[in-house]
Amino acid sequence: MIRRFGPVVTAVLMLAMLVGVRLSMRADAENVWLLGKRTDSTCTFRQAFGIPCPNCGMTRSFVLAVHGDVHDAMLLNPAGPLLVAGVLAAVVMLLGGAASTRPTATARWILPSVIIYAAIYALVLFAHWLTAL
Amino acid sequence: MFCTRCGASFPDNSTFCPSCGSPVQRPPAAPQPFPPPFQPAPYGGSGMAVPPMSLDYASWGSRVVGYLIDNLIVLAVAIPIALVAGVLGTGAAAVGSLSRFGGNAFGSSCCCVLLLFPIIQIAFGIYNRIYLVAQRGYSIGQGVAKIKVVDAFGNLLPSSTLWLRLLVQVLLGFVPIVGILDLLWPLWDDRKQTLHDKAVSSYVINWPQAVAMP
Repeated sequence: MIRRFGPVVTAVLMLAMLVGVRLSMRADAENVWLLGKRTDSTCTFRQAFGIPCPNCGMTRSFVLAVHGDVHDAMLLNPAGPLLVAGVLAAVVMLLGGAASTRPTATARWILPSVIIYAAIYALVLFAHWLTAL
Repeated sequence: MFCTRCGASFPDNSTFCPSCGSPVQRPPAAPQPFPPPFQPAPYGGSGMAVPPMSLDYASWGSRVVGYLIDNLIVLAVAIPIALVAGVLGTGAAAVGSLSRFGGNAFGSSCCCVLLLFPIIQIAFGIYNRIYLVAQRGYSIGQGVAKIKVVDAFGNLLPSSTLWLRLLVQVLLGFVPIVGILDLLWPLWDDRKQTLHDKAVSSYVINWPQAVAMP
């Protein structure tokens, strides 16, 4: 049962996460609001060393990307839209694999695709960090 | 050998019949058995190493128990470091402000996840996930969960393969959503492999009665 429906349930939960973020959070270039209340967290790395950490701006970027504001999200941290795109790609991959009558036909490209995506994500994150220093 | 034309006998390595001079016709070589056809495993299986014997694959629950124990050890090191960094950061920025302290303690979590956790995971993994697994087949957490990491034939993996396995796992864990997928993948995989298992064709099995030998 779980082997058959596990990918579908995972895909639905991922989509629900995106919908939940879109409904409960909003952001601009400076702040993030959760259920209408501004969150107040500062980066320890920035406070301790005076420079941003690679993850700085990710929450705002992710929330903006979920709301479709890709341009501002890219300016804050390009890994944010990449993460949203990755979630959507994972949903398609999981649902496609579950619906496919020939799962082996889709199998060969999944692992290399996931590894390449993770490597690109890490490269983008650290490249942005280096340019932001 | 005998000549197919005149029937004369001659040595096996002869090219021509010494009696009639006709070229030797040798019987065709026995056909070589073909390897089994390529059969990729569903959902990302590489198909490179199909287990030739029945392996007693570990359940997802056992794997998660081992995973949690191993990563709790990493967290036990990472969290104090992150908190100390948070306190130091607070002290440097706003001494004595409790609200600021709360914000920084929360803010340190992203640094912990992004920077500290993978670094400590690799550093501790050199001992726990490479040395121990190469020596005995299981890490500290996997030992508690009674599971073992092996290759397709039930043998222990070499250190080089375990290095690659650890690096792939850390890389996949670097992206939040991919790390979760990697952890969930055995739930629906035929051989209960994670993605980092598939990358090096490793399998996690129950032990001690792990391999059903014929």
